[in-house]
Amino acid sequence: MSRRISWLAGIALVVAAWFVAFATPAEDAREAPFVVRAEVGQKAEGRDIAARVDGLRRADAVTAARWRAEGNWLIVDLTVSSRVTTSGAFLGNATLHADGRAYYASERPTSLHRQRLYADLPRSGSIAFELPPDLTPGIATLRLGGSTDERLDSVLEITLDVGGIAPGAEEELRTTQWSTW
Amino acid sequence: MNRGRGRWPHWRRNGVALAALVVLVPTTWLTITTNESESFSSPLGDDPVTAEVGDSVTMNGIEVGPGTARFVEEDAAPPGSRVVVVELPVDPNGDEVRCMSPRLREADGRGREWVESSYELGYGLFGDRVTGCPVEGTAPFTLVLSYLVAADATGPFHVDMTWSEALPRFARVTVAP
Repeated sequence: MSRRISWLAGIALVVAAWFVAFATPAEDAREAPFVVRAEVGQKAEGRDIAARVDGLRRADAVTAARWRAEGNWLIVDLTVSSRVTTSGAFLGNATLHADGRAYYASERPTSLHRQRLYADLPRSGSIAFELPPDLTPGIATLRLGGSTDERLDSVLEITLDVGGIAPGAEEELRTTQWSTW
Repeated sequence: MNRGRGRWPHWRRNGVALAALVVLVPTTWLTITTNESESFSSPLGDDPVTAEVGDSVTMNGIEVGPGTARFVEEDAAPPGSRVVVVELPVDPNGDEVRCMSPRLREADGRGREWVESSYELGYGLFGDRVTGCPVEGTAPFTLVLSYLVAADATGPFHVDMTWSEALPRFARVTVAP
């Protein structure tokens, strides 16, 4: 093999290696969740979860049954079901991503958060996020799934225009009940 | 230089290493898959012992089935749902059986699965229906199980039931409303 051909082959291999490195997914990509994006009012369907955001509210105080708490609250009214399983199916992951931080849905009021999901039997209700007092997010992202361990499973991602909602004085969480799509 | 004979010049010298690879690669694969499958065994059972419609299953001397199923009108059922009532005879044959609540699964389609729904239907925990295995006693009994399912679920269904002594096996009795 002539020296010229050796050089050409070497350069070609370096270029090919650069393309391979460029096209190689990030290290955590092999465990990345399967994200299904939807808008408010639109039903999103993942592997074993389906959900629709019915509405958004902000309030300086939230009530649920005989429970009440003041704070900087964002309330998300939801309809949600599983799609295949019922035993072991829960709304285990309800996370709001805003301003580079993630906030879990509050466990303080009785809500849809961590409730059982029924296969193709939707239930409606609310989840509530207690945000820092000085935080007024503009655009936020809601992620919904069966577990906070999102690896290799569907995650529903809904973009929320939180900045466009005027806060009310007091809002009540919807009672969790059977519903329809 | 003999190019023909030199095409695979090293395989004899590396024969032992190649033989080791042939043994070790499948052994490694088997070991990993066996360990992983054991660590992910479900508490509800992984290994079905099946019975077709009209048949029963016997595991550990306990006979389950044959089961029957029917759709019933139920005012408490929400829109978009229907109620399937499954009757499942269990004969412990003189033994005690402490079963987990049987689950209902579509035999085809997406294989959707539902849980016993007496609570959701407001039947109460202490009604006349036997919805779980008796805590004590060895006499035969019949489970009467109500499942809230999606309105488009037509069956046939599998009724999956197991108990701790039978794990990882579980009884899968097929019923057709």
